[in-house]
Amino acid sequence: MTYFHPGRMPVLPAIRREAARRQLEQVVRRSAARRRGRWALAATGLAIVVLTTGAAALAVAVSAPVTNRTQARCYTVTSLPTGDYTTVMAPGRLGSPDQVRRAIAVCAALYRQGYLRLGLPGLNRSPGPGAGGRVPRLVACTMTDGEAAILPGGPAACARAGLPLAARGGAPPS
Amino acid sequence: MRIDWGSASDQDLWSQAAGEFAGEAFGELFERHADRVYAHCFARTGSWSLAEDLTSAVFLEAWRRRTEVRFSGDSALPWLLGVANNATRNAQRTLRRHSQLLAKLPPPEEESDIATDTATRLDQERLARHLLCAMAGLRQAEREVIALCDWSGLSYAEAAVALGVPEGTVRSRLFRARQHLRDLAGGEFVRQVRLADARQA
Repeated sequence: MTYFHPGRMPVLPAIRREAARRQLEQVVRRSAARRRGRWALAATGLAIVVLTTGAAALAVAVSAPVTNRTQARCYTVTSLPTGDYTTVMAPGRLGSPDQVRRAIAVCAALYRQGYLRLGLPGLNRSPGPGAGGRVPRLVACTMTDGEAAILPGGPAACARAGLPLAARGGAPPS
Repeated sequence: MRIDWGSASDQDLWSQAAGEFAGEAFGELFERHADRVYAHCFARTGSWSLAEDLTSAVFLEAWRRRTEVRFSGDSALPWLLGVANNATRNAQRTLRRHSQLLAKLPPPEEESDIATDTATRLDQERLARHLLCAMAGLRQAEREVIALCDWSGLSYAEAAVALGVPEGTVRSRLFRARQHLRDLAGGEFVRQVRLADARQA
């Protein structure tokens, strides 16, 4: 018993749809940027505390689990300079076994579409047509705060960056 | 900047909610589900123009309540329709909350493509109002389950996600609501529905 048939209902008018979508994107972008700013500030504060207490001499374990279930970082360089990464959020179902693998897949998609470029820091926000690039081999490492860091390179890239391998995943995208 | 999200599930899109591509990801969610939310808001209000404002408000509300999201499979639609149910229940309050943003959107009468399906829209409005009159005699919970399952075509499991109740509750509530509605609406309503269906076919 269906009185209204979605397939036959008039759709949201085009002008209104475009305007509403644009407005939603702006609202979301502004709000997400404010939130990221707060996190960055907190992370900077934490980093200062860690450095000043001499905890920078981190023991690099062979592997460590990713405990941050809400976000991961995509790096285009292996030296992990501050700010030169792209945050992707909660890739996949929270806490699922393939969470790390999906983080790698999201980073790979950004490479493929030209938003990330190997060796070039930052995000290319306007990749032109045909800007899609080669996807490098990617590996998942675990940051000291439990967040996954997806680096270009093999397992040695984690060691070079002073990080343990992520306990799950680490395989390059097929 | 448009990103090809074609293969991404709703859950993948939602997972970008605080990342670099949050805006684009939510834009894609809007693109995927705006029409279904629009149709649902219309069915609950009987007014296309009100449904346009409510559709925008539903997605703004969804962003505000993004941490409460529940997926049915990989789809966010059932939850969005649940948000739409709440938004239409408290339409004035919802619209007031987002009034500044909604005021910046083009008003319905500026739409040029409405004229092409004016007749369909008027038919739908008449039918919806008739139906809403009959629905006035139902309890709130009954109205909501009818709107989700019979009007928006959700399965029992999806409606359970939208309403935040067990699937068995949806089944029994829907059964009672349909019976109740049949008693209230009577033969005239069924005739109107069939007429409108024939016109649309």
